[in-house]
Amino acid sequence: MSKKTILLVEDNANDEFLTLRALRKYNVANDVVIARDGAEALDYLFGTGTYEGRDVKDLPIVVLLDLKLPKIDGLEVLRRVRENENTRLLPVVILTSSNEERDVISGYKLGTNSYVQKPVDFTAFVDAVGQLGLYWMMLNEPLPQQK
Amino acid sequence: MPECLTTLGRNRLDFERSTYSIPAAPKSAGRLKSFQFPLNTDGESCNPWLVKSPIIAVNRTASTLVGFVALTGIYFGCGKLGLALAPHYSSISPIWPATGVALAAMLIFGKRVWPAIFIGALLVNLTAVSAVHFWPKLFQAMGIATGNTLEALAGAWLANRFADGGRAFERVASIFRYTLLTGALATMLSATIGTMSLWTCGLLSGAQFPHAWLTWWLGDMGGAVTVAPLIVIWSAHQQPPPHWRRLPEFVALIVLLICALQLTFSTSFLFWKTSHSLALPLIPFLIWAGLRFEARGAILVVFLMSCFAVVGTLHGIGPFAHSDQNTSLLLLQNFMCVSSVAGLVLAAATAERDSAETALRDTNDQLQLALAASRTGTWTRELMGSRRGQWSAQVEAIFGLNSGEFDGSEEMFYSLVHPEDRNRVRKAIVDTISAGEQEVEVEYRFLRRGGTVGWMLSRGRIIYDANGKPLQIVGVDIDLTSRRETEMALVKSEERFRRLIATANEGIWEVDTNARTMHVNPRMTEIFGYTAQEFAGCSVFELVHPDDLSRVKAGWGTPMDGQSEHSEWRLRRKNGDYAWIAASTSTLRDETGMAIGMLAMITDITERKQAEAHVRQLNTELEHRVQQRTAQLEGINKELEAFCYSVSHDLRAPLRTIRGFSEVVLEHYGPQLDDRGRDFLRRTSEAGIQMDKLIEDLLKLSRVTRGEIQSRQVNLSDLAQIVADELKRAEPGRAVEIIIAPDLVATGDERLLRLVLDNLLRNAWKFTGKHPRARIEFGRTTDEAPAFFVRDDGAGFDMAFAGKLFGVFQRLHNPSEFPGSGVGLAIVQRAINRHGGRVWAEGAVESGATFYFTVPGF
Repeated sequence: MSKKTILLVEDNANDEFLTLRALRKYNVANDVVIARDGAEALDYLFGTGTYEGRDVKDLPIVVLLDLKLPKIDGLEVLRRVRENENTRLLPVVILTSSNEERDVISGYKLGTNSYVQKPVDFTAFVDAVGQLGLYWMMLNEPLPQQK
Repeated sequence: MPECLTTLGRNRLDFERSTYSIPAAPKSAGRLKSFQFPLNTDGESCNPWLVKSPIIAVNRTASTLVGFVALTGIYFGCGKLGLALAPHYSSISPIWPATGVALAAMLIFGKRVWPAIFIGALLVNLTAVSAVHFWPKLFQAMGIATGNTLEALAGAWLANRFADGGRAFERVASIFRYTLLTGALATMLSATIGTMSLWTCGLLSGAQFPHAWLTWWLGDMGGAVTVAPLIVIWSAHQQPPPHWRRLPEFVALIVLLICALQLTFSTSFLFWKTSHSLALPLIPFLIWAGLRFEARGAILVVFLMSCFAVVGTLHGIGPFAHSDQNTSLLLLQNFMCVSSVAGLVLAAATAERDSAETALRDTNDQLQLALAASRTGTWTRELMGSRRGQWSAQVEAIFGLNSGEFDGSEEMFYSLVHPEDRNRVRKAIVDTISAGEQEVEVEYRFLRRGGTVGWMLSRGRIIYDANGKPLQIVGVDIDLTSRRETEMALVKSEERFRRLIATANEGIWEVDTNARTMHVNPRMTEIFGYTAQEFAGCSVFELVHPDDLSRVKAGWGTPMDGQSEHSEWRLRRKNGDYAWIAASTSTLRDETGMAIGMLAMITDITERKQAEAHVRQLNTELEHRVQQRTAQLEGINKELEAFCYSVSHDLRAPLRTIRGFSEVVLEHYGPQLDDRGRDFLRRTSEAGIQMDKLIEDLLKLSRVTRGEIQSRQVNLSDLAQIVADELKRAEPGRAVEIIIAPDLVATGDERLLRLVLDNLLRNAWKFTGKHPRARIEFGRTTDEAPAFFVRDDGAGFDMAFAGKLFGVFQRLHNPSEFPGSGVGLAIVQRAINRHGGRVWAEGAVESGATFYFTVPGF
């Protein structure tokens, strides 16, 4: 059984830093893989591009997905993940600044498991991200690995 | 007997019908006509008899047979009675009612009954007591029967031909003809043939012959003039109704008559047996009956007299009793004939007089009715001496006087004539007389009682004496008032219409059935510039715009009676322009209802049409502009949305960084910083939070502006209650009374209205925060145009700044007093504006504030 990893798709280095810090505070920063745009995230998940040859069966336990991303935006990433047979059931949590109604609706329509707005207040942010990590890493029973 | 008559009558009719159903030559038709039932010259009147007949269903032949046998029997009975009275000759009687029976039967049923009479007569003579052998007796009986039958046939033919047949006893002239031709002449046949038969058989000697002939003749004549009228008159079914009021008189007549007859022909009382003048007292009864009870009464009296006289005379009693019985009976017969004829003549003359009187009365009544109906009366005036006049009630009625009110004077007449017309009336009469003419006619006005004026036409005829002096004027007055009033009304109405047509603002165009102008009013020349002469004979279709021509032609002449057709088309003006006109056409008809053309009411609508075109053009332009604007707006909206989206995402990340890293610094390097440094970092961090709130509120505001409005009924009271509950839950420690009027409903977008109430109530909650107790109210004003309101008794505001209240980021209070971004009321205003409503506020510092808003129903 592989290690429990989190795929964090985040282009903003500051947010990345703060997110990782929040996760660390809750001791759930076991193994966080960072993807800095949508294309990189997809490469990682589908074993393409720079991740050519990666075992695609080794999926992260959850994907924390920002929406505003260079190259391929978050919603498109989500759509492709849900289209792919291998990643169809992969837990994806949208973690983004916007709480625009249409983003929330589109996210759920494409099959996100959660939609979390990043609070501006740092304390709140740490709580939100930390609890998120805790939940997915510790509490949630993951889908059995497909061989 | 009546049944027999009925039967025969019915069969007679049946026979007639079957005959008439065959197309017959005129000659034979004429011959058939003599068959007609004499009493029913109008075939119709026979029908009731037919219908009422109880034996209508009985076999026709059988009933005919019964009728024949009955008639034969009656004839036989009467013959036997007659012979029983014959004193001298076994076959000759001075009393012979059988002739009367035969004639009556012929007159009532027609000549086809002759066999019954022949057989009856034959039987009478065959059964007569006689010494001769059978064959001579048969020969004699055949001869007599032939004579009797021929007598009846000839008598009936003469009566029908010359004396009105069955109606012979209704008129004096026909009674005389009947008496002479049938009674005197036809009976000679029987007398001659009968006596000849007897003589031939040797039953009569040559010396006896004249006397026998005379006896026979008189006997038959008696039957013909007494018995035949009795039967015919009393069997006539078309009798005048009996005068029931005269019944007592009739009874008195009959009783007195019987008394008189009893006296005249009784043995015990009278001793001067043979004085003929004794019969004279009977004459008054005859006159009485004739004058008062018509032919029926007269003939009944004659019959009664005859019965008594015959019986008395046979017993040798009475004025006709003579030593020789035959002579007695002849005298009696003579008396009976004279009485009968006299009675019938008297009755007929009386009836003729009565009917003449009735006819005269009817004519007069009709005349009066006609005069009254035509408002016409008659008058006369003496022109000599008294000069008095006489007016009929009609004339008085026309003048408005009561009957008899006119005193006859000339003064009164002239006082009734209109003062302006008096001299003219006088002059008309005087001129006519002085010219020696007869006819005078003058029309004048007269004054009715009550002061109204009437019109009269008087026509008079002047009667002059032999010397040419005028004696009298006779004339009629005809009330012309209503006719005059109608004429005047007609003239007035014509005048009104003429004026209307001349001054109408519409063109009026009368055209014939070929659409050629018959008449135009002045307005037509104004509209089109043609003169009336140029219009004359010009066809509508020549002036119609070519594009409209087929449409106008199709609609031409279609309107039904009483309806009109409206259409709009173009007509060429004289200057070549086309005028748009609205035409309303209807059919013109003459007195007989024939369509003679069309009447068109023409309104010049050129200006309206131009205005319409202008409006259409403006509309098009406006629509175009609206489209442009909409496109622009859509563009702006898209940009705004993109902007908002970007704000939502990108503006927050830096804030988060500011905040986050400030915290990280504080956490990691806090101890290395002094208090001031830590304070600066905290301020930086809080500014980030503040900016995030501002961004959040701005986004809310922009959301209000975006998005479709979904209108439906919203219960505002319920929404307010939800907000109130939330507020109380959030700050349970505050003593705030929130009063919400129940069931306030508005039509609008629920999401926006929820925002409105949420912001206003939170506002009120916030600004009452400094007061220990507070009261917040949501309700609706009771004005003419009701508005919703949220009222509080909080900090209030200075009305001088009321205009700033609804601006974005506009605040009237320091954030340290009351926190907030200044976006809430801006959201309220946008939301209400999007509903087309209005929002405004009233308040004063520390006296609370009231926010009003309206939500016009969508």
